Amino acid sequence: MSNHIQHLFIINRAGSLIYSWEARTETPEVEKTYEWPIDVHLEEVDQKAVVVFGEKDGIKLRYYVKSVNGETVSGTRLQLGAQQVNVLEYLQEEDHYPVTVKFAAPTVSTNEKIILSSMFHSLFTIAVQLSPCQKSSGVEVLETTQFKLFCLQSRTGVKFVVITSAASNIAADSLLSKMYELYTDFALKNPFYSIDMPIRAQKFDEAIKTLLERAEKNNGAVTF
Amino acid sequence: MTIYNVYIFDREGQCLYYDEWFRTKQSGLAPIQEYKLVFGMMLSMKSFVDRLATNDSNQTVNYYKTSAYKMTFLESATSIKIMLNTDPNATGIRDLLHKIYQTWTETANSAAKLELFASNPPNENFLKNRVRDIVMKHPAYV
Repeated sequence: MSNHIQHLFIINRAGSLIYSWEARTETPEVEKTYEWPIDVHLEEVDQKAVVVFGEKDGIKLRYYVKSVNGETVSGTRLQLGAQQVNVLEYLQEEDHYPVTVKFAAPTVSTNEKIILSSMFHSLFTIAVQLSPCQKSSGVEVLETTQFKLFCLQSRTGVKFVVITSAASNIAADSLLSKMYELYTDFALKNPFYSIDMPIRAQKFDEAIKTLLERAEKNNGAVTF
Repeated sequence: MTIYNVYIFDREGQCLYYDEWFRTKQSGLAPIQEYKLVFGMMLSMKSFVDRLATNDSNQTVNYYKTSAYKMTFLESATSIKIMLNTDPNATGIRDLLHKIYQTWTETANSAAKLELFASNPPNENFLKNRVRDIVMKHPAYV
């Protein structure tokens, strides 16, 4: 069945990520053989060769080059025998064509999750400042064409964030409250847990997984 | 239900238009600083959602909601950005944004033509009256 819940984040008072969970999904990959000249425009973005123009045949913007002629690309470096070449320069030479290139959809790395958590922390605060009326909270719901983000901030400033697919009508409030409850039970009551540090407790992981399985079945409504 | 205020920005972040109706809380910043903050927040939000969604390339922020208000976004292909703050439960806001954008493009085109042939630039109220007319007719207003 399709996963409605895509990401879970717990962010501490200072905006640091202290817990994250991600649904296991198959990363789309597309392989294609090109004649000179290649009709996809590639640029180096975040040390990867990324598609910036020319969506075609399932290859979309932000996809990056994963391998060339079966040889894995590391960042923008392509290993050819004992030699390393820049994959962008390699694809500019007519002598190398025809060439088979495999593209993969982007994923969210651990470092990116940390950056995104800090970013959300700032957005949350700015939303309070820019409120046109009194006593507004920060961002509680953020909707895009691809996903929905729900956020619950506790009295002590810890933020619980869940990201679902756009089509999902999951009862996020119930899910977030339950997450908060599990946080208090398995993190705060743990005598070895330092406040505001990343949560590394196996029982917490197991409890979260169980919660999410029940949430998927009951459309987010989780009650005992 | 009510409509609080509206911002229109160009692609570089210049605030082309601002108006407010039932705003009860000021941000505490000078207007120019507030416009920069709103635009910066929107840029960050776009960057944030782009990196989170790995499915597809064409993605836009529809809105965000807090306990007290809802900011709805519209961005045209020419990167004109319109942000409208309303009550969280207001409906039909996307249609209203499209009407505001249509009014903006018509007025901008008229203004450009007038500047070519007339000695006096068009009055600022030229746009303000039309936008206010559209907003005040909307069911979410008051």
